[in-house]
Amino acid sequence: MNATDDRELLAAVAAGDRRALRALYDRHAPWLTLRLQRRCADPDRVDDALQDTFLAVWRTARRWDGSGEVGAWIWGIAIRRLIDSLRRHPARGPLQTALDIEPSAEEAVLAGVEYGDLAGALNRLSPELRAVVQATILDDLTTKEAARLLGIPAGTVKTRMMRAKAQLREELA
Amino acid sequence: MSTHLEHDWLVRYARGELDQARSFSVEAHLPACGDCRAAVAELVDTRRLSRGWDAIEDGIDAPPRTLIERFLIRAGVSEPTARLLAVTPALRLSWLAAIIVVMTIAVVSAHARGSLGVMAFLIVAPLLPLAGVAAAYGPLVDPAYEISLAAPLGSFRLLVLRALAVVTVTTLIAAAAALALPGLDWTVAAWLLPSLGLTLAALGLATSVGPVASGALVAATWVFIVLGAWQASGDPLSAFGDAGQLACLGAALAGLAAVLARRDSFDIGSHE
Repeated sequence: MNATDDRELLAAVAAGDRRALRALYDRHAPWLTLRLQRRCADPDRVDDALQDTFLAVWRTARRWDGSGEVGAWIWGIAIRRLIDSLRRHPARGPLQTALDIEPSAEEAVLAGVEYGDLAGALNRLSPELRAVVQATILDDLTTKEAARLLGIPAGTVKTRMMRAKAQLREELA
Repeated sequence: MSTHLEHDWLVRYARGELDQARSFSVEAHLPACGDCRAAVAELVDTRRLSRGWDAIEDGIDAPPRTLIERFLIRAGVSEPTARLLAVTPALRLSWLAAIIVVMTIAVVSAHARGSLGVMAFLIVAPLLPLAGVAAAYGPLVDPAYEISLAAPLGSFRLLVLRALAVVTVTTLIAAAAALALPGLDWTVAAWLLPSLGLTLAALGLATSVGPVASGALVAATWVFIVLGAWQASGDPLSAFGDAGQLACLGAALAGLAAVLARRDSFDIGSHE
């Protein structure tokens, strides 16, 4: 039911209805904020990227091709706006992201017990490897985009991804 | 995913305390699930979100970016600076078109009238950046003047930015035109130093009398000197010889010194 509503709202936005944009914002801005926040610790940068995102939605709503979830489409814009902002004004010093929070050993084991081996194996990856897995698999970014987001060279993204895969394969074998 | 997420997960996710594997689940689930998104919405600071919405409405109401502005932003200029540059009167299409027409006429006359025509070109070419800079800033010509006074940005910095932009653009156009002059001799470059001299002298003088008056004064002096040198020596190009070039360099340095010494005078209302 929500999905059709989103589509209708987006159609209204394409027709220039500002209230429809507001409704989309109320629905999607909160989770987008949290998700961006987990990838960039600077709240001002996150807020700017989110504002740019909804301005882009306002201007390009009629170009949406109608496939997939509206939420996923907006997220795709948002993460690229964040990467764009990092490219134009690189963060000073390494970004402290939520990824640096290490789950306790106990939690990692519990996760493995409750949610299957994959969850445990993911949690046992080092923060650097997890960040790369998150960017390339969950966020579906290209190597180049992941490199910009994480502030590391593209080659490092590739080698870390290979190491993460090898470690996961070993743990799940 | 068919089932909903546990509320406890969402709370810990919002606080950034949820472990990685479960965060992955949350993030894979949220884009597709309105109920869980609504539950998460309760956990985000509403003041922060409404500030964000205000900024978005401002963005919607702001005038769209011009071609020049988008180009500048692409080139790495910051957004506020790009907007200030883009509203520079002398960078508007009408100005650029006028400059190109003037340069074309000067080149054609140089071809038709020999050294008299070349003199006309050499008189006009340095006047273009001068006119552009005189009109780059000030209450008479700048539609954004009131706004720039209120901007958290020194008027001097704005002036330098715009002057640089104007001089760059007009110099490129004049250089292209100069290559079309008859005979590729020293006259092709003879306008460069005068250009710099006139522009900087006008900027220096603008610290005392305001940009438009100083532009007019410097332009009149320039034309008077070139025509005077022609009458005195019989050679239309005599003002562009070694002595003339040195004088222009001197004018440039004096203008630069005046600008640097009196840069504060470009701020609020001191050059009415």
